[in-house]
Amino acid sequence: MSAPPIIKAMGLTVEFRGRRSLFKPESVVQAVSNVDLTIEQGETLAVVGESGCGKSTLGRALLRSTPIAHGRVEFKGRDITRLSGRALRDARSQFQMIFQDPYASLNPKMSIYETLAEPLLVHGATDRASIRPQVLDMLSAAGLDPSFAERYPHEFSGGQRQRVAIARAAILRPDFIVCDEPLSALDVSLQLQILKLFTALKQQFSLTYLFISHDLARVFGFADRIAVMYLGKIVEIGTAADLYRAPAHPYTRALIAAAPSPNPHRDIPPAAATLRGDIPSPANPPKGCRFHTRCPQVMDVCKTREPTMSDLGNGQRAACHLLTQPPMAG
Amino acid sequence: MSDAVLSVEGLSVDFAVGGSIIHAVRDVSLSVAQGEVLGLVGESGSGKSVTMLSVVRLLDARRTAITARAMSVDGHSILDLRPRALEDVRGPVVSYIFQDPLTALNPLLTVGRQISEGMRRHKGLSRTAARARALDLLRRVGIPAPELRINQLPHQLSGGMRQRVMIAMALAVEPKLLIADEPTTALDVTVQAEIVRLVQSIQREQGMAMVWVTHDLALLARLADRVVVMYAGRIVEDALAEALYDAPAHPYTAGLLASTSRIDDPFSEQEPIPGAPPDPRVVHPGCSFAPRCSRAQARCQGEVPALEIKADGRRVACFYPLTGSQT
Repeated sequence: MSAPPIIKAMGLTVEFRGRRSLFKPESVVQAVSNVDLTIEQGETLAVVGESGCGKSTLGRALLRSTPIAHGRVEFKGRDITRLSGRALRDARSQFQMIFQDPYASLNPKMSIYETLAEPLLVHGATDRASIRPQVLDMLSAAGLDPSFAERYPHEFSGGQRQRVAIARAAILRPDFIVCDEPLSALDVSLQLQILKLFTALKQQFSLTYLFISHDLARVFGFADRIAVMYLGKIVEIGTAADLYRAPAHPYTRALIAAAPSPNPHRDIPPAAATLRGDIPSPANPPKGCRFHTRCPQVMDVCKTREPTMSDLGNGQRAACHLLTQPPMAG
Repeated sequence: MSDAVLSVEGLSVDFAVGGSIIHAVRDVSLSVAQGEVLGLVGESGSGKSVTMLSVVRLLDARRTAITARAMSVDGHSILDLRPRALEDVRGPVVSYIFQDPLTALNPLLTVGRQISEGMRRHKGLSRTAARARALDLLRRVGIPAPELRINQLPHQLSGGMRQRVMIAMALAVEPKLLIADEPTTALDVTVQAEIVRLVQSIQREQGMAMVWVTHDLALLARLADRVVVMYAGRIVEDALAEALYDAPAHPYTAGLLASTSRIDDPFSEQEPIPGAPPDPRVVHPGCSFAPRCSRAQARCQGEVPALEIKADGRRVACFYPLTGSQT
């Protein structure tokens, strides 16, 4: 691994500003707050968390699709934080994004062929004769019959549309694909099919994914590493196996305990792992550790001081005071 | 079936959509006993919500044709009721919790007013008595600072709190049957876990019958006594929860189980069901699942299997069911 990582983020912060009015001062929401992250070539990093945790915003910021307030993003060792105009567009030919809703992300007036040919044309395919075989090959790789090429999105089911969206993203052989909840709009029986397609394409084209999901159970068997986010912060990151066998942050443990399983014999999760109450508003996150209002193991220090990341070995890191100053034994 | 709170026999529902007819529900029979929790599971378009909306007659009568041999809730024959009598059944006999509380709640009325409404209408409580009980209920469903929240409007609450308000509303009139239609689908997983625990404890305490409609088999594993699986408008399997999860008999149930993510065993290889659910506009002469089924034979293509009662009491609509001894 001497090559630089595909993506490296340092102190990445994204802010949204609420509108100032006569009655309200300007409010600033830190959707992503001081995030450090690296993604190696060929890796799948899943970002997991509940609504408002900033996982989608993080994905967009890495692709420079949303303004970055502080920190920097490197793509293959090159700082892209301040790129603009043509340089930014060139960099973006190496990035792709797949969205949650395949009904909204495909242009209804473009045939499947046009949908897949467009990225090739935009990013400078000069040999028009080579486009058609590329499109047809990509359709078969995505599990679609090449004879579908002349059809339009409305003729397809949700699962097939998501295959089209994936084919469109993969056709440029991008270095990095952000997948933003690509399974959430699909029925259970189709989710697994699409997940298998992601795995197959990754192997075929050696892709690198950032896979955003709210479904921790789904990503354990799919991702190499998992980052757990809560209110704009990464609270824990590590390999899927380490996070499953030895989750270090109480929030990671709570997510595992809360996920249902089709097994009536499964043990009832211990009370120490279950959460009470709703997620606080990201506009006004709690002081100290942002998780302390819901944490079953909250200590006094958590209410005033923000925890820093502890290194737990094998690349596993978590931000929790329990790891640096455990409560009194007894 | 004398102890059944809900009894549906031979329910079919057709929709008129853009000049064609969609058979959304076909020949569905099910019952729920007093104190029983029935899980009704299926993917989108399976007819699970339409079945339950028929029970409370909330489908648009101009576009829907409902037929049934019999359909009753707590002895009231639903299809024969006039609108006025129907209003007396909705609420004190059967309450409904919808998926999206923001569209189900009135945006212009305070939370307290909406919870009180049913108690004043059906229980004859005074304004002050209903308000006191509404406050109790808000506390019961785990809303912090209920004295403050009772005077707020729905938009001032988070999604999880709105769903708690919906639950308080449904429980205020102490229904015999509670229908919960994907009430946690829009919620985050940690909030979902808390809501499920809450509804379950209230259901046990009051001994009411409950139908929990969901697309998620995992959610029902520890919640339902019995699970009914629907596919393309029909019931394909109906079994006690443990029997269904341990040894599914219908190939679709088995496929759905195999596709469901398992937090207690997330690293083992899973096999998806091939193909996609059928287009509801296309009528298939045989079993609707046959095109996706690895066990299908010639007979499945031309003949619809009847829902038959097996020796262990479960009902299965399949010519070649799994014998039920697999792991």
